[in-house]
Amino acid sequence: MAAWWFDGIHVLSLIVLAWGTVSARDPFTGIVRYIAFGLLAALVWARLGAADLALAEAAIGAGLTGALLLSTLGRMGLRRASGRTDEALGPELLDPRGHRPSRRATPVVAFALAAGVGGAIAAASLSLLRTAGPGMGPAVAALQPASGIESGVAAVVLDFRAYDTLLEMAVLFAAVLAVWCLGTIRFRTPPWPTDPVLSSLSRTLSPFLILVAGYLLQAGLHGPGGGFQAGAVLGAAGVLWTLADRRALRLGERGAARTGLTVGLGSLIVAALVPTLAGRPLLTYAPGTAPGWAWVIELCIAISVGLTLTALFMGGLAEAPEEAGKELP
Amino acid sequence: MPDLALAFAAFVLATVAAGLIRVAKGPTRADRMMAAQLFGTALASILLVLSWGLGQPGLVDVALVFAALAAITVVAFVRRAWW
Amino acid sequence: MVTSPTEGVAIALILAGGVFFFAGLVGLLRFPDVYARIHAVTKADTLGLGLVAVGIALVQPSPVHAARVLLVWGLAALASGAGGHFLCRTAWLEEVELGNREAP
Repeated sequence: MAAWWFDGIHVLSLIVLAWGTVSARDPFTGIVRYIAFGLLAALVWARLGAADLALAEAAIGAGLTGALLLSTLGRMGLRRASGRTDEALGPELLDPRGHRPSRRATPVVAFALAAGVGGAIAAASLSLLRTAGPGMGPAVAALQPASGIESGVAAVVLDFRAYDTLLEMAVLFAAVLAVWCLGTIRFRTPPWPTDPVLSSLSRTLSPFLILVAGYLLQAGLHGPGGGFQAGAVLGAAGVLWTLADRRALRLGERGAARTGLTVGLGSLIVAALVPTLAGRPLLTYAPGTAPGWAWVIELCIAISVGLTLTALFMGGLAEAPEEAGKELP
Repeated sequence: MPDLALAFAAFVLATVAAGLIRVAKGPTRADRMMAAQLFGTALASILLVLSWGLGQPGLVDVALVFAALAAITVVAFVRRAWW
Repeated sequence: MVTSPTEGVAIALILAGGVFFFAGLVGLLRFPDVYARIHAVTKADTLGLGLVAVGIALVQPSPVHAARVLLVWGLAALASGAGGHFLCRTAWLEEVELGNREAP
């Protein structure tokens, strides 16, 4: 009985926030609502008992995507009709070319499309649930003793379907390369003074974030957690550091950072190729070595994902020192 | 036990949903940003109660991540204001 | 339903936390000034979370699990404290005067 109340309020809030996100009249309000929506979506996963997904959604979908959207908003250069550049954009907002973006029909169309697709998926899932058997759970459980990894999710991600993980890491790597090709960080002169609370928050919170990331990393092999989630928490620590200390913006130039970005993909490529030396197919670990590979791959994924998310938030490579001081667009 | 936990969670969720009124109405930008703060704290408490009521200890980890990221979310908002 | 005194205390603490969440909501909706509303959100809600966390920590199987639950509260307290400062500073830099009920 109480479950109906909880789920009812939950679903209602999700729908209202979804409509609020697409119908927001200025991007800033839309982003606020999107972050709230993301947090409620993470709660959906928690309610369904999928703690790994809830962790990933909370860390990446809500917090970091929100930060990325805000970073992008700052770069869009939108301004009021009066000419003032302002984040608090209202109905008189214009894009850099001076046109007002049209938005009357767009929210309705977007929401209708999303609702239509979502409804179709829900109907298909419900009909599948009635006719489907036990699902993949027993199949995975039957294969797990051979693999040796305790958590079913970790076994699937790192052993049975490690190829998917390799491709995901390649996509993330390509994303950082693309952002570095396209974006430049410009420094304002004179530099804005850093808020002392922000720098002390970064100093106080970063050790705890690293602790939480380490905990998620080692917990991931026999429960909820894992490399991606730990990497997302490390990414949050990186974002905090970037905001608190301007010197962090030169991160992309350091060799250690560039190496760190490659170890995630690199470890999976190594894990793929080493078995071929022994004559086995790609990514087929020697019997009993799967937990060892899993541990190394998880650690490398965490480092890479953390650096990737920080690099994506920064939005590019820092401009060369001789270009500093030019007018911002 | 699950019923009591879900009832409490429903109550806090309703509270948070009602807080969205201020986010919609709030004249200043700081009012709107409070959504991030409010949601992070309230949802973390919902997750803690559900972890006990539904018997899923993994939800404590999710609450941990929620709390850890609440700081980042507000800072990311506010930084844009003084950019 | 309640199997031990510890569980009873835990439930009492959790319900007290819920009361503070409601108090935070009332403050958020009814306080006249953005600065006052920031007080309501950061202080009342964090205290609510703290009471819930202490209640849940009491029923954890081991001290390590309890410490993990209390760490949730510690991080949220850090976040709320700093967040309150940043929110107020944002409002201040937008030149919202104290006591202004219909700020821009």
